Amino acid sequence: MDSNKKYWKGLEELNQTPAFVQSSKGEFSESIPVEDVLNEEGLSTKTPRRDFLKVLGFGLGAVSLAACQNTPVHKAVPYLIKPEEVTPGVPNYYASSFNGQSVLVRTREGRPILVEANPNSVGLTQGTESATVASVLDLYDMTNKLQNPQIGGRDVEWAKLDAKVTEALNKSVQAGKRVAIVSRTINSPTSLAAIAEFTNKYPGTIHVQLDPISYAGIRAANEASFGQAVVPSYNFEQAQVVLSVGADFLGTWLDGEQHTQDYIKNRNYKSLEAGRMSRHIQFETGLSMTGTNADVRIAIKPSEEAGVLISLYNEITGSSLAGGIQQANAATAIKLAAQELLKNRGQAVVVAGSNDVNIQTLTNAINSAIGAYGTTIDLVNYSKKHQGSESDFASLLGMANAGQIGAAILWNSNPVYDYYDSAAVKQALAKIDFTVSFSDRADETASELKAIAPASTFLESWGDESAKVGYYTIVQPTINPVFNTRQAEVSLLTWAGNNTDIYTYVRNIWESQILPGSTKNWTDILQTGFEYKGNTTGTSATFAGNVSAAATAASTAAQSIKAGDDFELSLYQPANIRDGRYANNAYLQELPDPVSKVTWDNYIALNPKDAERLGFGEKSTATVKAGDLEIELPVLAQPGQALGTASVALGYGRTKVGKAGNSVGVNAFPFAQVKAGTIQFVNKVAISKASRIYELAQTQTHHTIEGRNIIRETTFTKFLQNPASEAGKFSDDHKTYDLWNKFEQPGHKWVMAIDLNACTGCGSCIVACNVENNIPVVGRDEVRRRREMHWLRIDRYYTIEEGGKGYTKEDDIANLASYENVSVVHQPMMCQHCEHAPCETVCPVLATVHSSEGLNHMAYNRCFGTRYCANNCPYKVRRFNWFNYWNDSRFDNYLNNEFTQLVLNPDVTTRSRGVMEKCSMCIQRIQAGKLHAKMEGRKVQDGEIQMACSSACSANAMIFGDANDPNSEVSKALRSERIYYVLEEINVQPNVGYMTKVRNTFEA
Amino acid sequence: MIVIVSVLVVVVVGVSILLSRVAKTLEKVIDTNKESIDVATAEYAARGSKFGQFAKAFVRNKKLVFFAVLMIVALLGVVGWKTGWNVGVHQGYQPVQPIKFSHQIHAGVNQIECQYCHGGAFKSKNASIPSANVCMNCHNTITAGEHYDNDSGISPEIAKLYRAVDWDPETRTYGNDTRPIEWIRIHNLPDFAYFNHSQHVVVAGVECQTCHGPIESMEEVYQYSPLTMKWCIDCHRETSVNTDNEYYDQLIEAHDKLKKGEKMTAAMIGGLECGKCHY
Repeated sequence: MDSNKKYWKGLEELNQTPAFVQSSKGEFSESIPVEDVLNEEGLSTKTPRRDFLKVLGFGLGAVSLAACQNTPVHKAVPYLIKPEEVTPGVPNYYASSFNGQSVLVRTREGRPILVEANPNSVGLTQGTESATVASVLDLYDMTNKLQNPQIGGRDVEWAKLDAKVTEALNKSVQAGKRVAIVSRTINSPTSLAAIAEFTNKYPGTIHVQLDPISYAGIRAANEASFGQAVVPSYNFEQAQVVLSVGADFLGTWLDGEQHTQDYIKNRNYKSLEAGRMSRHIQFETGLSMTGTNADVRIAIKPSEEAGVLISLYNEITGSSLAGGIQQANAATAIKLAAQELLKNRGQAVVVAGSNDVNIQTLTNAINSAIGAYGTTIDLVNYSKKHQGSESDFASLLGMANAGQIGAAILWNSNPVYDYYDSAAVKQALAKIDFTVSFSDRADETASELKAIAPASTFLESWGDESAKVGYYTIVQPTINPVFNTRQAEVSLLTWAGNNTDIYTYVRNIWESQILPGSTKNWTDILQTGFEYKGNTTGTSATFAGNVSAAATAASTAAQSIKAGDDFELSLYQPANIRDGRYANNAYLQELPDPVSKVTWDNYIALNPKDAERLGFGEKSTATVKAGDLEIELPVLAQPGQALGTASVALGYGRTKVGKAGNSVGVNAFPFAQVKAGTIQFVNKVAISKASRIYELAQTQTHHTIEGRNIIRETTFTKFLQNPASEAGKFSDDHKTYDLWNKFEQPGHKWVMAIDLNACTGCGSCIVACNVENNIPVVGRDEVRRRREMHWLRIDRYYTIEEGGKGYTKEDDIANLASYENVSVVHQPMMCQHCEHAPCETVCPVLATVHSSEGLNHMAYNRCFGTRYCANNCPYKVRRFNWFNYWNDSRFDNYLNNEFTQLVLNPDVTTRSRGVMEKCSMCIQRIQAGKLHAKMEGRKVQDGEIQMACSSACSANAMIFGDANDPNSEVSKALRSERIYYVLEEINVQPNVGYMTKVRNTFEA
Repeated sequence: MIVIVSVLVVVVVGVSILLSRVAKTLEKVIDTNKESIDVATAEYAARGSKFGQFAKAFVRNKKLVFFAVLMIVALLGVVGWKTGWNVGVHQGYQPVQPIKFSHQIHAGVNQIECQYCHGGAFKSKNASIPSANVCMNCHNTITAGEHYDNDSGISPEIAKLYRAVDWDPETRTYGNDTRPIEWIRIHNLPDFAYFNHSQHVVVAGVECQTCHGPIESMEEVYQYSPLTMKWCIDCHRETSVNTDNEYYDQLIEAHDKLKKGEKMTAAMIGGLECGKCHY
C-alpha cells in the first residue's frame, strides 16, 4: 500500500531548484578532468625525446628496484616487563565516567580507542551522547593542546610553576585579598575535597561555579516553590503525557540521552506491542530535535512561552490568570493537552526550557497540579550536574573590579568566550594580581592569564563524579598522561601543600565518605564503576510559590522581547558541539545537526516565508543586529521555525580552541542577556540582507532518495486497529521473481531491525560508527562537494500537515501560509546488506561480494575505484575515498599526525585514496564475537555482539542479531507487523528491516 | 603487480621502438654518406674483420633483427612475470637479530612449549614476542657461561639480555637503565589482511609448525611459508574444520544434510569469503 504523503529532505528538493536537480542527477558521475588534459593546449604539447628517455629510465629503475626484493625492516619491540593484564591484540575495558555517566573505556595496547555506556550501571545504561564517544579524539589532540605548563606563554617546569603560584597565593592572602576558583559545576567528591583543602590553606577562598548554559532559573524557582534550590531529576519512564515548552529535553536540555532512554520506553516497539504509547506535545520556536519527535508540535515565539504556560495553568486549575496565549492554534492544543495531563495525573510532566525564574515557577505550579512531584519529577534524588550561578559570577566580577581578589584559578571555565559580556570578564581578570587556568589549551580565557597549568583529560586522571544524589561514579585513568599535564586536583593539592598521590587520595575519599554502608569495596568499585545509594522513591512536594506574581512577571518579561517588526531571537545549544567546549572535535563538527543537517557552521534559521519576504535565497547571508551588537551569519530557511522568529546556535565562533574549531561559525553568546539574576537566551534583533554569498555545508539533500516512497508512517489509533497499518508490505500482494539461485545460510544470518519510532535522530550512532571504523573527517569544503564519508547517515524527512490534513500535492504545498507545521521522520540509513545486492553484480573486479552470513563484504585492497557500485546502489550508502584523508595536508583537522592516528581502531584497515567503502556491519565485532564463542566452545549468544551504532543508541532503535536464531531479539522484532523493507519492490532483499513511524496525534 | 607488469611492457615496447628508430637513422646515414661508406667498406673488407662482417650481415637481415627483438621481448616478459609474482613475497627471509636467540636450543633441545613464550598465540591475534621478564624467569640463573671462555662466565648473547633489563648478575639486582630489545620482524602480513593466531591455534588446532616450519630445529628463524593469499586459500580448501566444538553444531548438521560423508573444510563454511580476512 502506497502512502501518498509527500516527504522531502529540504526546500531545494520540495521546490526542485535547478541546482538540486542537477546535482542529484550527477550524484555519482563526478568525472575525472579528462577534458583539461585533452584540450588544445594539452594535445599540442610535444613529448620531447629527452622526456621520453627520462620516463624510460624511470621505468627501468622502478622495475629493477622492485626486483631487488628488499624486505622492509619492521622492528618488533616487546615489553621489558609486560603488565599482567595486557595481551597484545586483545582489548581491555576500564570502568570510568564522563559527564556523570558510567562508561566503559576500551583500550588496545594501552591506548583508549572507544567509550561505551556501562550497561550494568544506573541511569543512562544503553548508549551515550555523541560527545562521549568522540571524547577519545581530544586525548590525542597534539597540535592544539598544551604539552607543558606555561607562564606568560612560555613553557616551564611544573616545579617552577608551583613555586610561582604558591608565591602569588601567599602574597594574596598576606595582602588580605581573596583567592577565587571559577569553574563549571563540580560535583566530584574528590574535586570538592581538594577545593576544601585548598581553602583551608588559603582562607577566604571563594568557589564560584558558572555554567555557560545555565539552569539557575530552575533552581531559583524550586527554591521559591518548594524551598529546595535544586535541579530535579526527571523520570520520563513514568510519563504517559509529556508537554514541553521550549525544552529540547531529548537533546541538549539537562540529561538529553538519559531522557531519551526513558522516554522511548513508552514509545518503542515493545511498548507498542503492549498497546501503549505516550503522547508528546511540544511548543517551541525553532525546530529542535525534540520537536521533530513530538506527536503534536506548535510553533510559538519565545515571548509566547509565558502565555502558553499561563493558559495551561488556567485550563488545568480552572483559575483565570491574565496573559494567556491568544493564538488560536496553540489555544486549542492547550485545551486538549490540559485534558490529557489531568487524565494522566501522576503520569504526566511539563517541562520548560527557559532559564527565567517565573516561567519555571509557572511550570512548577502546573506540575504540582498534575501530581508530577514524586512520580515523574524527583526532587529527592536531584541532579547535581547544574549548579552554576550567574549572579555569583557577577558579584565576583564586582569584587575583582574593586581589587578584592588577589588570585584567580579558572578550572574548566572559559568566560571570555562563553559569558555574554566578554569585555567585562577581561577587564575584571586584568584587575586580579595573579591568574592561572587549568585549561588544556591556551583558549580565549587562558591566553589572557598569567599562567596555565594544563589539566589531563578524564582518560588520564583519577577522580569521580556524582551526577545525582546518592550516585557516585569513578573516573580511572586508562593511559598515562600523553603530554606533560597534571590533573587539576593534583595541582590544587600541591598548592595546598598536600603531596599524597592522587590514587591514594581518591581511594581515601571513597573509603571514608562513600563506601561505608555499601556492599561494595574499592576493588568492586574499580570493576563496576559506580555506587548507588539514592532513594528509590521520591516523595511528593507541596507547591508554595506565588503563581499570580510569577504569571504577571513572566508576562511583563515577555513584553520586553516582543519584537514588532523585528525578529525574536532564540539561542540554543547545538546537539554536537554543545556550548562550544567540544568545538575542536572534528568528529562532532562534521556530525550533521539532527534537524538542519548543517555541518561545520552555525547560521540564522528563519521560517522560509520570512526568508522569502526579506529576500533571502540560497547561500544568502544576513546581518543580525541587537543594540550595538552586529554579526553576519549565513541564512537557513528552516521549515518549522515560528514566523517572526530566528534561531542561532551557540558554541560556534571560537577563536582559540584549535585548528579544527577556530573561526567556525560566529559566536552568539553576546546576544544572551542577564535578567533578574539569570541568563536568558532570547533577544530582539533586526535582520537585514548582507552582501556576502556563503554556502553552508549541508548534507540534507545529499544521497537523495528522489521522492521514492521509503517512509511509512501511521497514527497510534490506526495502529491499534491494525498493527500493520501503513506498513505497506509489498510481498503481501505481489508475486516476486528471482534471477538468482537460492542459497543456504545455515550458520548465521546477520540482520538488523530499526525502530523508526525510537530513533530521535541524535546522531550518537554516526560518531560511534566513525570512531569504531576509522572513518575520516573530510572538512567543510568536501562536505559541500557531497563527499562526506559517514557510513551511516540519518535521513531527515519533512512532511507538511496543516489544519489536520496532510499535504500531498505540489500545488497545495506552494500555497502554504507558513511552513510552521511540519512533521519529521528520522531514518537511519546505511548499507542494507541486500541478499541480491545490485552493487555486487556490477563490480568488475569482484571487490564486493556476498557472504554466507548475509553480509555484503567489501575488500578494499581489491577495489580499484570504478564507482559502479555506488552508482548502482539504490540506497546510496557507498562512499568513495577521494583523497588519502589521513595523510594529506589539506585535511589537517584530524588524523594527520602520529598522535591522532593513535585513535584508530587497529582491527579495521584504513582505506586509501581511490577506494570505495561502506557499512561493514562492524564485521570486526562479528568476527571477534564468533571467535570468542568458538574459543569457549559454545554458540554465540544473542546480544553478545553489538554494533558500534546500536551500542551508542540510548533509544535502542537499532537491534542487531542473528535471524537464524528464532529467539533472538532481532528475530522477534522482525516478526513485528510494523516491519517493512525500504524499496522492497525492487526485490534486492535487504537485511535491514524498518518499523513504521507511529504518531500519537490528537485528531486521530 | 599489474603496475610492474605494465611498466615492463612499456619498457619492452619502448626499447623496440627505439631500436627501429636507430635502424632507420642508420639507414639514412648510410644513404647520405654512400660514397665514403663504399670507400670505407672496401677498405674494411680489405682488412677482413669477421665481426664487422657479421654485424653488417645482421643489420641488413631484417628478419633476423625482428627475431632478435622478439627474443629479447620474450625474455624480458618471462623475467618480468616471474619477478612480478614474487614482489612482496619474502619466503626464506632470515634477518640478523639483535640477540642470537636459538629456537633450536630452546624449543628443540630443551623442549620448552611454544606457548611458554608465545602465549598470545592462544589468546590473541598476535602470537607476541615474549617480554624480557619471561626470558629472565630462567636466565636469572642460566648464564650458559660454561660454553664460553670469558671472565664474566656469561654467554655474550645472554649478556645482551641482561643489558636490556639492566640486570647485574653479580649483585643479582635490577637497575633502572633499561633498553628494550629491538627484534626484527620476520613475518609481515600486509595491513589489509587480518590474521588471528588464536582462531588457528586454539579453535582449529593447527600446529605451529604447519606455518612456521621446523622451528624447533632452526638455529636462526626464517620465514618458512610464502604468506601469500594463494597459500592461505590452499590450506583453507584442504583443511577440515575441527568440529569438536559446539559452535559448529548447526553448520555440521546442515553440511551433513547436503554432502553426506564428505569432509567439511574451512572453505565450505565461508573460509574463502573476502570479509573473513579483509576488513
